[in-house]
Amino acid sequence: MNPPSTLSVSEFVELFNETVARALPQGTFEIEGEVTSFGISGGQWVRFDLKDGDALVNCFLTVWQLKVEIADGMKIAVTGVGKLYPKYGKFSFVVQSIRLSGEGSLKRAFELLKKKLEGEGLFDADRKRALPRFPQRVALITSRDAAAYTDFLRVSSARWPATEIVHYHVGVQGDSAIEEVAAAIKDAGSRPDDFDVVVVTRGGGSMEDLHVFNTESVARAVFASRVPVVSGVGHERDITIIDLVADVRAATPSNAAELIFPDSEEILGVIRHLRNVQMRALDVRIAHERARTAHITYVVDRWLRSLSDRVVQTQRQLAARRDGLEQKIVKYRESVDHSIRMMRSLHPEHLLKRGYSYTRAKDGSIIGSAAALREKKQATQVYFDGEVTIHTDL
Amino acid sequence: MKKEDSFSQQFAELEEITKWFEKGDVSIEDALGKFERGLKLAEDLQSYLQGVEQRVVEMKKKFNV
Repeated sequence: MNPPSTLSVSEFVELFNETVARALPQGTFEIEGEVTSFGISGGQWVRFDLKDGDALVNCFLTVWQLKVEIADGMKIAVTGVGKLYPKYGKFSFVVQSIRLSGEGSLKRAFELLKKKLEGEGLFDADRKRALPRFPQRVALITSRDAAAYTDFLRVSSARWPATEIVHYHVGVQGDSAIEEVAAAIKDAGSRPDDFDVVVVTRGGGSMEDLHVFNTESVARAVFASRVPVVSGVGHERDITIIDLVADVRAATPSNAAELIFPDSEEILGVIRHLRNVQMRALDVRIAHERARTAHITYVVDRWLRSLSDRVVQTQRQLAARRDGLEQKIVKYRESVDHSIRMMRSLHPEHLLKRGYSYTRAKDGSIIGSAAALREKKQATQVYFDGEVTIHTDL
Repeated sequence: MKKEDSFSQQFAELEEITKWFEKGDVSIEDALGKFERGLKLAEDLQSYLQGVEQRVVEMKKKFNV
């Protein structure tokens, strides 16, 4: 037997850690137990003990590695590697991943995460966005092998084939699926110019099956999405964290398609109805216009007729007045003729012709009396056929 | 792969025209123009819906990180 070799403390710790790592390679086993003395220090170091009835292991990880909510009393299984810390000589299990084992732990983790996210306002109703009426392009995040994929596409193509579906193929179960789903939501959710709606869906399963959709990273990806998110996870009764963060929660994958897509038959009916409303309105309008035109024609017609009536009446009045005038003219003419005859009959010539004569002085004035004549020496006696000069002093 | 939003725009325009008609008291010149536009929209939307088939595109990017 060789004498024992001498190792320095550092060498021992190094050898010990190497041996443990070789003997129990990371990922080949997990340790299951109950959480106790859980705590976070400095905002970044997570420490807890994992125990069963007889033993206890001190566990360590960073907060960034902590993907699930854990608390004292929860049953979990961890993978990782056990090592001695050189500085303090303390043995710790450095945790790589945590699996919640058992319904109880899952439920507890669900409640813890729910409470935490609720407190941060991730479920607030007033930040839920409405879905567009006619989505042009939808991002479908699910596994192509899942029944949810087929169900969703069957309903969407029947209701509204006009939408283009862009499928993000992701795992929907197991730890690796968590980051796949979160990354797919982050990608689709950051492209509001490409997508109207992001839908995350998978069929029913146990709480462990649906665990991906109860994780913080998936919830935060949904919360950060700039595109409205619809969740359709599990059956009607399953409520997952993603359902609470999503803008719209669908009960099932088929229901998600029903909520996102309008029914094209219904919309065709609406289009027909809108067209009929327009046709009827135009018919009414034309009938109204026709009635109005008829009324205008009637009014104009009546006006024209009254105008021509007035013309005829005026003509008649004018004719009547003309007749009166003519009669008056005849009357005037007759009276003028009569006057002329009268005047003529009164002309002194007529008297002279009947044997009368008159006497005129030298200056032309009429001498109307014998006395006046006696005063003149000479006068002119006028007869109808000439004049005779008379001398009074003879 | 920018999405086009023609369907909702056209549908909204059709609804707008119908609302305009329902308002009544419209001029006949406007009514004829709007009616022609409405009819064309309705026909376009109908034929679009009746002729289209669902397109599913696979996202090439991988998400298993």
